[in-house]
Amino acid sequence: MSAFFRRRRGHRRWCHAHGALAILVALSLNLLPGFLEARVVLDEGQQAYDVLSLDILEDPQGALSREGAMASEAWHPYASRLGLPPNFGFSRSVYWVRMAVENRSARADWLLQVTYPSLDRIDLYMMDSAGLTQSTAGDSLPFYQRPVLHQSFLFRVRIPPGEARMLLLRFQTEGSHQYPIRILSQEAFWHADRLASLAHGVYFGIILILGVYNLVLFFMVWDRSFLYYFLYITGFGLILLILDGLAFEWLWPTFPWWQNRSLPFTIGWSFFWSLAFASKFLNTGHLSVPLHRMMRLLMGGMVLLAASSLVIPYFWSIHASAVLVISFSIVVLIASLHSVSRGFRPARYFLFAWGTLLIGVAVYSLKGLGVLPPHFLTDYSLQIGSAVEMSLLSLGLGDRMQTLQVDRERALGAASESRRLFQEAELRSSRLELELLKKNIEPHFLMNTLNATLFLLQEDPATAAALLGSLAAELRILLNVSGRPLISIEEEVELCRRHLIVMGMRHEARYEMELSGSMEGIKVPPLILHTLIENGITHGLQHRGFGVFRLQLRQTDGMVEIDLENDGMSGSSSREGGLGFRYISARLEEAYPGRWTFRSEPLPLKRGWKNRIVIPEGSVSRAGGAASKQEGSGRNAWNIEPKEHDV
Amino acid sequence: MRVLIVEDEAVAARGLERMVRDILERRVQSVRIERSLEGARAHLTDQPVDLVLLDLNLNGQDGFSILQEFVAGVFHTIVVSANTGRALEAFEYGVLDFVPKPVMKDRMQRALMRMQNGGERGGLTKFLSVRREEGAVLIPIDKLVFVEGADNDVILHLSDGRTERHRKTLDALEKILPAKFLRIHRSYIVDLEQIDHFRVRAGGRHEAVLRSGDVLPVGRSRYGEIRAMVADARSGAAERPAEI
Repeated sequence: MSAFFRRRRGHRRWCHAHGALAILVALSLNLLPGFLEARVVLDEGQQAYDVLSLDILEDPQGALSREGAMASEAWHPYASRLGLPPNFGFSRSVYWVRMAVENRSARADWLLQVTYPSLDRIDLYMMDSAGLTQSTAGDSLPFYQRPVLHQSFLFRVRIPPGEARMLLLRFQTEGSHQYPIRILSQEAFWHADRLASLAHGVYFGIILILGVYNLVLFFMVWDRSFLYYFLYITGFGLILLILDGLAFEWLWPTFPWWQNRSLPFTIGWSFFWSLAFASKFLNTGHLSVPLHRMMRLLMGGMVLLAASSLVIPYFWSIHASAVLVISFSIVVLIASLHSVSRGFRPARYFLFAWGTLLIGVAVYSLKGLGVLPPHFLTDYSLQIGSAVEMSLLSLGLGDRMQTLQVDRERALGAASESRRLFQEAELRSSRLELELLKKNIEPHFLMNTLNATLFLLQEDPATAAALLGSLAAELRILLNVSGRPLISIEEEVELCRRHLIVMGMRHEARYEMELSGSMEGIKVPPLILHTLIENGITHGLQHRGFGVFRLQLRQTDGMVEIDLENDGMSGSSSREGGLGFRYISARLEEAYPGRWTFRSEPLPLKRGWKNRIVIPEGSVSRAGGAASKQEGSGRNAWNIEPKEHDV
Repeated sequence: MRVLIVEDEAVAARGLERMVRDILERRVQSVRIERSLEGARAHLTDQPVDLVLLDLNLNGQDGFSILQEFVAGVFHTIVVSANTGRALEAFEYGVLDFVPKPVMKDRMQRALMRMQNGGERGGLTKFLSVRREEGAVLIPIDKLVFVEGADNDVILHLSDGRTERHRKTLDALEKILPAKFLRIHRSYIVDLEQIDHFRVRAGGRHEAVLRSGDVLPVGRSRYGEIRAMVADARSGAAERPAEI
């Protein structure tokens, strides 16, 4: 019992045929088993029709022939809700669809379009005056075998005006069974296709530009984030190209084998790089070890997916990709929330971006499930969401680059600043040491001492000899200690004593140093006390025949207090006094950075001057090691002078 | 000669006195030691002094501010100092000499001889110090056109028309001014570069006419020598017949 439509003759003018047609169609349709509701009526006024009600027959084994399908009792009507196309999810079954198309318009040529490019194979059967027409299309067939070369599936349908036809479709696919069927005129198709092409152009244009831009940035900055980002968005773009059928049409039209595996493979590829990007961007290695491990695990999963998609059936690999993509979303969301909570500013862009994409995906899924109605925003939510997401990520990359740059500069600045300060202190110290040495050995001290010695030679040779001896002793110690960062206070005191002898002879005065407190274990920078003694003699004790320096040492709480008083007035107004104080400050800062104090002021009631130096105990200082190494030789040097020269 | 030694160290001061007396023998009239600046000033106010031996590093003070003050005086100043780094600078102030410490007798002798002979001329002087109320002021030598001798001091005639009084005598100044300053007359020292031409007046009076228009007399005995020196220095100033 064939249900062929007989060729109807009659007037083409629709006004005549209208009524008779209806009856005839009804009559002929009544011949079919079951009451057929699926009917599309093509009018003049409308050029595009969504087929929302049709008859469905499930063929689980896919064994039915055309005749068998037509004769089957298992047909049942299907009417979709909310204008959504039929969707039977993932199924191994074959589905047959039939619909009646009644042409009440003046045009005979129409197109039947199935806008789900992932379907493996669609067979269209139509009976007309020429007999049975069969067209086949699908993405498991080479592209150029399609009846119409387009990324979606297009079949030419010719129904003379005023007539009706029964269309039978067989859907076979490993993926999702979605049948968005439209019947439209050539003009309508052309118009819609142009719009669609424009939208595609804009979308893929955005991806292309973002990709190229970030790739260029990578080559400029060598930050791998940009490379990962580039690989991710080009991969993602490829996914959408595949989903739209454009990849098959333009990239590999003659490789349907690959076409059928391309989606899970590209998902694996793209999301692998997406994970690499997220991981680097958020610096999960330092953020959280479990998160980082999770990401690494997922990346391994993506690799597995891509590899296995080439061998295992599409049905399983596409399920696996769905699971992995969901896991990916959850992990990335958690990671970006964590990063934001840690105060990493660019992570905010990241969170926002991923949020937008997830919203796009969610909307798309909700539309698929029928929760949300079809609308431009929901139809293209995936594209919109991903375009916004990619732009935000690009912004985030820029922000991250700037943040890292600022941090890096700040760290570098701090490091170089502290290095510079130390170098400056060292330089200042060695310069002042040199100046002090010069100051002592050259002009005033040495020359004046020699001057006095020469004059004394005429008056009192014995004293002259003693003076030379003390001068030599002082110079020996001076030369020994001045290069060392720290010396024992015994050495410093000895230096001071020699100096007092020399100056006493020059001035024909008696200068003494009294010591109280223990010298044991105390270390000081060289010439600290010597400078103060010098100042004291020069400024305070000059014209008196007698001067006393009192040195007091005290150790408390890990600090050493050194008090040096003299009973003359000393001022730092002179150039050399200022130089001396700068020398002391620089040496103290070098040896005990920030942990020393030095005060020099007149004594209140008594006529006199007081200097106080407070330093940490010797073992704490940086330079302790070097000092102790040279101490032995120092002691030897100043121990060997003959005692008779002591005055 | 009356000598003042300004030195704060006892041994050095004593030694210097001994050395000066040894060198000058009977030419020295008195030697005074002052151990401080205040003491030196006080002495200079009271007593006439011909020569000052000055240690710049008195009590750690800055020698050069002291020096400025001293070179404005009528006496010659010899700096005795351990810091030879600033010797050149001292010469620019117009000291007679700079003797480094430790002081060696032959070097001091040479310095003291400058006072007598004027031997080598102090080509390094760049300033003359004049005493003003506010203190000593340095006048750059390149502003000096000529020096006129007056009663107790000299008048410095400067290129901008100003004049300043300086305590030293022309004889003393001769010893410290650069070689281009010639003593053309008992009462005049002039910068020879400022001479435009010479002329002879009736009665054998020779004159030097300066670029500025000033006319200065030239000592008869010196005329020839001076003309020769000026002629050496440049193509020669023409001698024009004077108005009669």
